[in-house]
Formats: sequence, structure tokens, C-alpha cells
Amino acid sequence: MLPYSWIIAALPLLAFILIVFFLNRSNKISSYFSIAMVLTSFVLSCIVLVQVLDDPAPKEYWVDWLTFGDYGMSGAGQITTEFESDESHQIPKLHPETIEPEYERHESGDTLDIAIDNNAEDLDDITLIAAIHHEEPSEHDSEHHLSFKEPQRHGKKGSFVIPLGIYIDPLTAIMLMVVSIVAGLVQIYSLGYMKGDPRFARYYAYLSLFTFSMLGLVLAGSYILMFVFWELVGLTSYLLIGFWFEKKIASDAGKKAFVTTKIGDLGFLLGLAILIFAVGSASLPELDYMIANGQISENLMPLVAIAGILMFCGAVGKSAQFPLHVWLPDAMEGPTPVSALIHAATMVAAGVYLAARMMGIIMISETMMYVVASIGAFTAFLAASIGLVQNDIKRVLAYSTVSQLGYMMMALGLAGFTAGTFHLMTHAFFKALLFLAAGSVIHAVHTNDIQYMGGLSKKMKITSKTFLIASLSISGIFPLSGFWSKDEIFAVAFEGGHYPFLVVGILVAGMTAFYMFRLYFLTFTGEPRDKHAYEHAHESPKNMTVPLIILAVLSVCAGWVGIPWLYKGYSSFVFYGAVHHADPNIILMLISLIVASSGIGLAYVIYVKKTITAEAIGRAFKPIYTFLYNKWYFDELYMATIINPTYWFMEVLFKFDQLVIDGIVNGFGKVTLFTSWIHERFDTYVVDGAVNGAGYMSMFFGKHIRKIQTGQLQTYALFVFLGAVVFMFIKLI
Amino acid sequence: MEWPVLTWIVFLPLLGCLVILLLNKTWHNAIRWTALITAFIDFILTIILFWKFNGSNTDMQFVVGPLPWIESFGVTFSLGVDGISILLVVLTPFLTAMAIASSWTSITEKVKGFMISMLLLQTGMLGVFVATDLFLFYVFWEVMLVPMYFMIGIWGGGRKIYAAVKFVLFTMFGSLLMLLAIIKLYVMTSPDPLLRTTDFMTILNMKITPDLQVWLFLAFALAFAIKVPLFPFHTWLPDAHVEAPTAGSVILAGILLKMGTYGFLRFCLPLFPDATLQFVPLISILSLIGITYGALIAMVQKDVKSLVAYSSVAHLGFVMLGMFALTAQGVTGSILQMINHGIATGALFFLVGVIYERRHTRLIADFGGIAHVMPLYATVFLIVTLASIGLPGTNGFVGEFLILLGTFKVNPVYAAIGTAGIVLAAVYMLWMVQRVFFGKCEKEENKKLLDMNWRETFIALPIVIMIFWIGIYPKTFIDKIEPSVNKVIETVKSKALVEDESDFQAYDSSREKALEKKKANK
Repeated sequence: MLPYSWIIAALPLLAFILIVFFLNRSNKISSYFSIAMVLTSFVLSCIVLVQVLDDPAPKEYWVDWLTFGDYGMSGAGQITTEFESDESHQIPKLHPETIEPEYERHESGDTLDIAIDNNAEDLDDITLIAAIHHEEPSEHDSEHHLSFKEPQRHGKKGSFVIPLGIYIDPLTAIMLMVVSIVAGLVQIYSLGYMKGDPRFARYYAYLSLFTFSMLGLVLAGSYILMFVFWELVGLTSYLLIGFWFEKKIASDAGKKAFVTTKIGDLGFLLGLAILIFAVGSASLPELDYMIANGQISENLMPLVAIAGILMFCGAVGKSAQFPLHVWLPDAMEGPTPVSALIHAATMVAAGVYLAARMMGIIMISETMMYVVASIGAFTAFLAASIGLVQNDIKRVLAYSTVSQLGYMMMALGLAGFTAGTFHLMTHAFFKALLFLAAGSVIHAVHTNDIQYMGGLSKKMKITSKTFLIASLSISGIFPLSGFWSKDEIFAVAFEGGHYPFLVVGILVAGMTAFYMFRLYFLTFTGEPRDKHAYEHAHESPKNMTVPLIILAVLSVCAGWVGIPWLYKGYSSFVFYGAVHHADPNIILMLISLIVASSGIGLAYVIYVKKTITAEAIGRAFKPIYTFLYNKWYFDELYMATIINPTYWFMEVLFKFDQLVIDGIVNGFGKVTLFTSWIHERFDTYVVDGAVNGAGYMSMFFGKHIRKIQTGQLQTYALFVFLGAVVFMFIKLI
Repeated sequence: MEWPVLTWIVFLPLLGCLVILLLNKTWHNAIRWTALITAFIDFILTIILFWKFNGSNTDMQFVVGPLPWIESFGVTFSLGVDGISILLVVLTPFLTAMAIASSWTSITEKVKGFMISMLLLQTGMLGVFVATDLFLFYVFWEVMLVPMYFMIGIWGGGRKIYAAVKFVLFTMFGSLLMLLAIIKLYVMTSPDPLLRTTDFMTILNMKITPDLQVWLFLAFALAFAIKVPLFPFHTWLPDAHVEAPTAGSVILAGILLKMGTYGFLRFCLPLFPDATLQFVPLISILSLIGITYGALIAMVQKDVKSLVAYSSVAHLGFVMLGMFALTAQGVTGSILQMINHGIATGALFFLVGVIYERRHTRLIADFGGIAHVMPLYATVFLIVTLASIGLPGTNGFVGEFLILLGTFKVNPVYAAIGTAGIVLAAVYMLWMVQRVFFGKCEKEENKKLLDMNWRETFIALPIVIMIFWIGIYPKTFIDKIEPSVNKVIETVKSKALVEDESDFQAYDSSREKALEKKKANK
């Protein structure tokens, strides 16, 4: 199955093509076909997962896409010529000779092997990641034959190759699973939610295209291919946010999302260019291998680190991290199932996925890890604080998403590969559930504003229960999945001694619990605040509630694979079967539980008991409330500092183009015309004047002189006489 | 001697002209069909040419001549095609056929003259791309101005006379200097007037002192830079594009601009390698200015056509940037981007024409929400837009990515600034799409708009196919152009910095002295 796993991504693409060209006349066939394809993908993903569980060693499969022959741009070694000549950088040539010693070192057995032998009790993720990409000794693990081969080399001698390929390792397998199951459930859910929409078939076409791109992104074996799918998910996100393009606010949001993430992608693209020129490869395994085995020279390491930072910008954009977080809340203008699939569970998590894939590069520099962790932590706090006061049910969830993604980034920045990706997985389930449940509510009451809800649990039993489960899970209540993954993040911060991050993490956990239950209580409990909406509310149809129930089960159980007491749990799996656990820290667990419960308790006191009213708090902390309610004024800030000045600048530039540059051109024309005018005048009055003058003169003289031509002999004789007199005078003088 | 396929390709449209001349001027459909069929047969011929073209051979292929043409001046008739021109040769009849089909119902006045102009243009443009004699090249270069002048001047919009005159004067101004340079090169080929020639290959093998190269380079570069257009010579372009009829805009943007970039690559680079290396920073910076400047100005345009016109300035800046990186990826990307721009921008002008024909306005503010009434049109427009902003999977990405890689290797800062242009492109294109297509369809006139008819769909289809073909599998095209590109780069790098001064035999010494004197005076 594994070499053919591209089929997983190809099936939704097939659905997209067929719907666009043939099936779009029938809503029913379009949607069913799309669902059938994504469910098949899900089944195939399961097969892949089983196979990977059986043999966790990474696999890669390649085809050449673009080859530049005869340029002498061979893989890693040659590319440096530019650098060599300019900055005298050296790079080890990728010849077998240089790799050979590595093999020998391993055969003799070094510390690493021993560490893995000792069940890696005290191994942190850093050493493990480094270790994984070393040549792996196969005899150390009797259960799993870890047969790590050297990754395939792409730079053949004398050519520059951009290969396409897929890379499958445990993380890929897990992501395939998560994406295909959430996509499948969302598509089923949409049958009910989007019922009656005039562009129903088109909606399914877009969803299929998105599913294809997202699965492709996960399967991609090189950063170049990843970038291709990265942009494609961006495109589908744009299309789906603006799906109801009649609403200006929706098409605005789509554009904002596309452009904001594009700014991050700019970094990604430049980072890619640096990578290709510094290392000569963009293949995931090859890069990791080269970094881990020191095959990149010291001189080039800073360049690689810069590439890493730039590529991380892409992750910041896609995962809506500060300072590019502004697009995600606006993206909620899209249909709710889309928000669940794209803007909660999968696409926004792609940034985290990228960061996780780049761990090898990120870990080159300590500073960079801190940058990643700090951005994550700050975003987590920023978004959670805004989420505290918002009234739009989807926006609260959106800020919650941003905040949770910040958590994952923080974990990755603290070298918590396991923690980050584990939370990515559990979050996908409970956040998708939250959105779908919220969608179910919106479907029933036709408003997003929680001020007009309340008491809905009586009418919407399944929705309210599943929403409660998801809320408990995201708040980190034992033993739901969110508890385990959040705890893993705290454990990473604690073990690494990063106490400030730990404090932020726990603080945000409390805030999360508070705003989630504020949402829950305001929506589902108490007295209905809008009687009319309440009366029309009803439980959603089966095709919407069944996905909710499935996701609720996953929100409870998905975390159990990562229980720290497991001998071979999630963390061991993502490390290719090497046995590895972080120490379970009971005290930390207790602290996180207490914080989460107090957050819930506070929400209960304020919104159910009403011992302290929310209005009173709002009044007491008016400035803070306004500040948070206006989302820290980020939109206004960007408007005032970037967008408006740019617009103004563009107007000025256009005037400049018309007045100055074109003015010069027209000026030339005018000068030429003026000169011609002068010439024309000169021609008329001087040149032609001379000609005409000559004619005029002769006419004039002719006219006057002819008067002496009288024909009388006497007159002529007189003239002769006068002439003779004049002549004589002249002679005499 | 084998069948001179290039001669046929170049002069077939002329034959079509003759046929049209024989037709009664009221037989509009017969005239249109003749023109279309001629262009289409020509397209088929170029496809065969492309098919038979051997990508790994870097020499001129399908060579015609050199046949003596103006013998006393050593001017020959010689044609040939290599990896640099092959794609442009295919693109030309492709876009011409498309342009002819697009003006089926929009041109109803003086159809005969219009179609003759189109076919004349086609001959001129093809001639430019395949001529391997400098004088012949010059003749084609100038010949093509005439039909374009009429096309803008007769069938254009409001300020058509201003635009047409501006276009012609601007271009002529540049090309006269080029003619001087060609004459200079011609004189240099041999001290014996009888042995002189304007054959490109002969001139290519000539050694020219670096000082002289600078002057000749400037003379050629001015002509090409105006055509490209490189900032600050771009102001003829928005006027010409906006005022030209749809078909004229398609040809202008799709092919005429490429003649400038092609000229740089064919003549400036290999003939004047020292000067080229010297001017790399200048041209790169002008290109970067063009990229950002064009994009920023495009953003505030109120007319869709002038928006697309300014976006051309930005895109062509990209092409020039990649070319003057002088790396295999950069130049390959640059050639590919010429084609991409031809397809995408040609298509955009065509699509703007479609809506203009229905509404007789191009102002963005007059539209809004027309995705409702014209869903197919909106879809095609969006695909072309995405190609234009370089989304992966479309042709624009491949070109931009290669240019980025190529430039990055030489100067990362240039690459970074250039890439920023991609974001700007996304902003102005998507903003335009939003204002035209999205939102509620409120204007009464827009509610009745008809979607694309079969003719328009049929024109759009090959465009969409090409967008995805190049985007997904560019190997078909890159394999054909890449060896020739390497050769050009090699020529530039190996010919540059010739040290041995005694090698310069073919020299007009008096002129050289005059030049030196001039320099001394300075």
C-alpha cells in the first residue's frame, strides 16, 4: 500500500474533477460521490497507519519533475560553487567516502544506541530527533526491525533536480488519519448544514479540492511539494471563506486571509530558495539526515538557520500566529463546517505540522527555538485574552483555535516534538467538534451571537452534550484527550526548565477553561434570552448529529494513546518505535486540573449563579474590557500603519507616473511641437517670406516701373538726355 | 534542400492577406474565416515545428538561407529557430488565432482592414522571432509597427489617436538608435565594403572592444527596453493597451512586449557580453522598480484594462530580473515567464474584452456580483487570475519559482524584493476580482448579462489547458529551451572580458578614434 499512498490524496481530486465537469447538475450525486471518495481515503489511511504501526521506519518514493541537465548543479556539493567563490564556504561532497565513516561509527556502537537500549528513560526529544535521523542500528530492537536507510539522494551528478515525492513516517500516517476522518465527518455533516444552498455541488467540489490539497500537503516528501499544496490549501481556504460571496464581509475576509497568509508564504518561498542553494535539497528526510549527520558545513549552518526562520514565517501565517493572526477570526464568515475543517482542525494546523517537520532545522539555533516558543506563548495568551470577551460563538472558538495553535508552537519551540504533534491531533478532534456543534446551534437559532441564545440544552440534547464533552476536553479535564496532550506540553516546559513558559501555559489553560464554559453556559443553560429564536430551535438532523457523536468519542479517547504510563504510546510511535516517555508528573497534572476547574468554576459563578455579574466586571475593568473587546486594536493598528499609508503611497505613485514620468514623455512631445511651431513660423515668414518677398518686389517694381514705359518718343529722348547728364556728372566727379 | 518550413510559417499570413484582399469587403464572415483559418494553419505548422524541434541541439534549426537579398549591402535572408525562440514562435499564432476569434463580433466596421492588419502583424512578429540577419530583423521589427498603429488608431477607444501616435513614436525613437548600432556592427564586419554582412552568426563571432560594447549595448537596449517596457519607459503601455481594441491588447501584451525581452536575450546578451555584465545591476534595479512600481500603481486603477496593463509592467520586470541573473534557472524561468505572461495576460485582456462587449464599460465600479450571472466567465477569470499571481499548479508559479531560484543565487536581496511583488500581485488581482465578481449583483444592467457563449468558451479552453499543462508538467517546454539557454549563458560568460586587444581586427579605426576623443573630452 505505501508506495501507492498518493491514491489517498488523488481520490478527493478525482471527486473534485468529476464534480466540476460532470456531476455538478445533481447535488445529491456530487455530495455522495465526494463523501464516498473521502471515506475511501479514510479507509486507505487506516491501512497506511496499520502498516506504519507495523514498521515505523520512514519511507520515501520519488519521481523527477524538473531536471536541469548539464548545468553542473549536482545536489548538495555543487551548489556551493557560488558560495565557495564568494565567501569561501566549504561543503562536504556527498560521496560515499564521506558517508562511510558514519556507518563505521555506528557499527562500533556509540552512546546513542546505548541510550535507546536503556529504554530512553531520560532522553528528551532533542536527542531523540537527532538520534532518529542517524543511521539506525537494526539489531537493537527485537520487535521492530528499524531499518533506516540513508535517504535517497536527488542531486545527480551534473544536474539540478526538483523531484516530487511522498514521504511516509508515523507523523504522516497520523495526520492522514486525522485529516481524512475530520474531512469525512465534515462532509457528512454538511449534507444537513448546507442543504438548500444554491451552490451545493460547488461547495462539495471545493471541499474535495481542499481535502486533496491537505492530504497532499501531509504526504509531500519535499518542502517544494509541500509549498505547492500549502498554496493550494490557501486557495481553497480563500474560496470557501468567500463561499457566500454575496456578503461583502465574506469576500473581504477571504481576501484578507489569502493576502495575510501570502505574506508568511513569502518567507516560506525565500527560505526554500535559501535551502536549495545552501544545501542543495529540499527533501524532508535528506535534509534531516544531512543536518543530523553534520553533512552541512559549519559555514553554511547560519544560512540554513536563516532559511528555517523564513520558512517558519510561512507557518506563522498559516497557523495564524502573532503578528499574522488577524485573518483567522474574520475567516469565520465562511460556512461553519468549513471553519471546522479548515480553520480549526486541519489547514491552520498545517503551520504546526510544517514547524514539526522542520524541527531538525529549527533546532540548529537556540535563539530560533526561543523565537518559536515565544511567538507561540504570546499568541496563546493574546488570543485567549480576546476570547474572554467576544460574543460571537464562532469568533470565540476562532480565538480559542489561535490560542491552542500557539500552545503547539510553544511546545515545538521547547523541543517538544511529541507534545506539539500530540496536541495537534487531539485538538483537531475536539475543535472540529466544537465548531460543528456551534454550527448545529447556528443552524437552529440563525444567529452567531451568544447574547441571543441560552437554555438550548433542553431543545438540543445531543448538540449540548457533545459541546460539553468538547469543552471539557479543551479545558483539560481528566481523563479526556485534551488533558493528556496539554499535560504533555506542560511536562515539556517543566522538564526543560522553561518556567516562564510553563506559567504562561497554565495561565492560558485557566483562561481557556473560563471562556469555553462562559460559552457553554451562555449558550445552553439558563433562561433563553431570545424567546423567538428559542421557540424555533430544534435538534439538527441525523446526518449532523452522528458526526458530532463520533467526534465526541474521539475527543474523549484520542488522548489515551498518549498516556505517559504507556510503555509504547504515541511518543514512541512518532519516534519510529523507539521506546520513549516523558516522566509522568503527577503534581503538574494536579496543578493543571485545579487551574482548569477553577476556570470552569469562575464561569459557573458568573454566568450561572450570577453571584458576580459579567456587567459588573465589565464596568470595573472598563479599559481592559474595551481593549480586549476590540481585539487589542490590531486591525486598527495595521490599518493605520500599513494599509492606509500603502494606499496613500500608491495614489501618490500613480500621480507621479501620470504627471512626472508621462509628463516627461508628453513634455518631449510638447517641446517637439513647439519647435515645429517655431520652424513653421520661420518657414512662413522668413523662408517663404523671402520667396514671396522676391516675388512681391518684382511685382512692385514692375508695377511702378512700367509707368515710365509710355511709348512716347519725346519722353524716351528726355530720359536719354537725363541719363547722359547723370553719366557726365559721375564722370566729372 | 528540405522544405523551408520557417519561410512558410512567416509568410503564410501574408498569403492569407492576399486572399482577403480578393474578397469583397462586405463579406465579413468570409474574411473572418479566412483570417482565422490562416492563423490556425500557421499554428498547426508551429506545433509541428515544436514537435520536430530537437531540444538538445543548441544550434539554429530549420535554417533557411542565408539567401542573398540585398546583395550589394551583404544583407541576407536567413531564418532559424532555437530554444530561445521556439516557444515564442508557437505562442504567436496561438495568440493571433485567439485574437482573431475574439474580435469576431466586436469588430464590425472595416473588417477587411482589421483582419489584414492582424495577419500582417502575425508575419511581422514571427519574422522578428526567426530572423537571423540583423537587417532582416530590423525590417520585421519596424514592419509590425504599421498594422499596430492602424489597429489602435482606427479600431481603438476614446483617445486612440494619442495612444497610437505615442506608441509609434516611442518605439521608433528607440529602434532608430538600434538601426545605427546595426549599421555600426555591419561596418565592423569587414574593412572591405564588399565583404560586409549583417548576418547574425558572423557578427556573433566578432570581437568588440568593451568600450564600444557599452555604446552598442545601450543603443540596442533602449529599443528593447521601450518595448519590454522597462521602467521608466513604460508610459506608452497603459495608453496603448487601454485604447487598443481587445485583439490589439491581446497581441500587444501577449507578444509585442516579448519582442523586447527576446531582443535582449538574442542580441544584447551574446553580442555584448562585457557590457551585459556591466549593466546587470542597472537593469536588475530597473526591473525591481518596475515590479513594485507597476504593482503598486495597478492597485489604484479604476479601469480593469489599465490595471492589467500596469500589472504587465510588473510581470515583465520579473522576466528581466530572471534574465539578468544570468543563471540557467533564471534565464529558463524568464523565457517560460514570457510565455506564461503571454498566455495569462493575453487571456485577461480577452476576458476583459468579453465583458466590455456586453457592457461597454471597463470600470471596476460598474460591476459587482457578476459571478451570479456569469458563473462560467467568473470561473475562467479566476483561474487566469490565479495563474497571473503565480499559484502553484498554474504556469505562473513555475516561471516565478525558477526566476526566484536563479536570482537568489546571484543576489538574494533582489530575489527578496522581487518576491514581495508576488504578494502585491495577489492583492491587486484579488481585490479586482472581488469588486468585479463578488458581492450582490445590484446594477440592473449587470443582471441581464449573458455568460460566455460557445465561441468564447472555445477560445478560453486552450488557455486554461495551457495554464495547467505548464503548471503541472513544465518539462515538455523546459526540455526544449534549457540547452539553448545554457549556451547563451556560456557565451556571455566565456566571451566576456577578452584580454587580447590585438584580436580586434575588424575595426573601423576612424570611428574608434572619434569615440576615444569623445571619451577624452568627457
